[in-house]
Amino acid sequence: MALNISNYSLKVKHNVLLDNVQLNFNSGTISHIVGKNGVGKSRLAKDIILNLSGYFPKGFASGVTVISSYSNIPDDITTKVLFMLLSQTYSIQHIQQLISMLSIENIPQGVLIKQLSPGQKQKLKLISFLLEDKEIIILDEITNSLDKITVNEIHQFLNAYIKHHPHKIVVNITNNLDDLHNVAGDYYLFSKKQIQQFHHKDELINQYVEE
Amino acid sequence: MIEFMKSLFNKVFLFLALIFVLSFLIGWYLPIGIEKVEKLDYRDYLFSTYTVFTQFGFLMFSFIIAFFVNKEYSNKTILFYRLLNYNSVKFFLNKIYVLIVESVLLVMIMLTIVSVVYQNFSLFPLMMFLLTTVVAQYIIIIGLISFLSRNILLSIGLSIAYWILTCVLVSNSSSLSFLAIFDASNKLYAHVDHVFKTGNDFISSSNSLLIISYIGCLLLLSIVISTLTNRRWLKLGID
Repeated sequence: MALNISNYSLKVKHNVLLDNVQLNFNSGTISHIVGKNGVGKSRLAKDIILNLSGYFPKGFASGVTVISSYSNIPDDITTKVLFMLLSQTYSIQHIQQLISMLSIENIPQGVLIKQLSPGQKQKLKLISFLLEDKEIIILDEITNSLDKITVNEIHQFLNAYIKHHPHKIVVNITNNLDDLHNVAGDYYLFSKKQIQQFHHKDELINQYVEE
Repeated sequence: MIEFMKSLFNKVFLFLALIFVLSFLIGWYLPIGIEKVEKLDYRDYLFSTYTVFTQFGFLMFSFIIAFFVNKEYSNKTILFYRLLNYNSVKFFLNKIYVLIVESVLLVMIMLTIVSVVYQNFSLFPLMMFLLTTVVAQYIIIIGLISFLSRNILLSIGLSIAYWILTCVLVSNSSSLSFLAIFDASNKLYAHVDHVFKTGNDFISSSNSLLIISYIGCLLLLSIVISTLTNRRWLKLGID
């Protein structure tokens, strides 16, 4: 299975970000997208949900989960309440499976989420949104501004997750080159309104750094 | 469930309670402090409180209602609601449902205290009906404006602009009286005044029906609008 959108263009007002490109992401691997700020990486993720460009088929967004800075869990409830709410919609078994994969057993249950560390919040967010179990998962800068230990834990989690879910298409939009080093996958560079695929991460990193 | 929890954790219920206490205090202060009335009886006090709710409600309630709704946009939690299988109308209805239930509870508590102090419960059902519907009106209108607005300042500004505009329209044309039925320039206010002064315990059935129809129409209109704006709801929550 793959995500294929042909002749895709993305505009914000009169500013063309992507011009007539092929979106082609495979299942069973993490597709890393790298690019300088403002090239349209996050805008692509938003467009997949909102379909403002009109390029995505009707109902396409219902099969997509986006985990990003604009998909937060409420911070004015406790962890306990969060899991209570999630368990009303999703199976406890599935929740427990993700909890053990992300090792969050030490997060206090009775504390408001706003009082947790950024890493703890990010792990809770990953668990919550991955419960949707959608075929396409877009991760948008999920390792941004996190401590090194949490970033490593998330990398290990992603490697394990894609191994357990080889049918899923996971796109990782990132500026953190450690993601490329620690999580194997396909590599794409957004540059000059085009998407370029690289077979090896070092080639991509060299071109990205040179730009 | 989630909204009740949030209203407790982020102190919305506490602020709502403070607004109700303040409104009942202003209802006492206006005749005593400004009109220099020496003794305020049960009926006059409750009518004064009703006046405070109808004339200053948009000012007093706009912030807390807008905060409760707009916070989800500014905190970027709309995709979380989608995760819980919410759509725009379910989101909107849950928000206003919690605020209305909490307001009914607070009206009941405040009226019980006043009635116990005066040792008179004769106007309890009428005041319960009037204050609940007046506040429900604010919750639905300000809630809908907030639901459609990007941020809290815009929501408060539009709510107050709506209030001023409807007051002007109602005072200038009787055919537009349905826009703000509780306003002091409207016939309903004069009727309530007459009921309080003549010693009756409830308003006429036609006026009761008018209020129920008004709230019903507001609710229906807000359901239609919030149903049709699902994509806007997502966009406001993401962009």
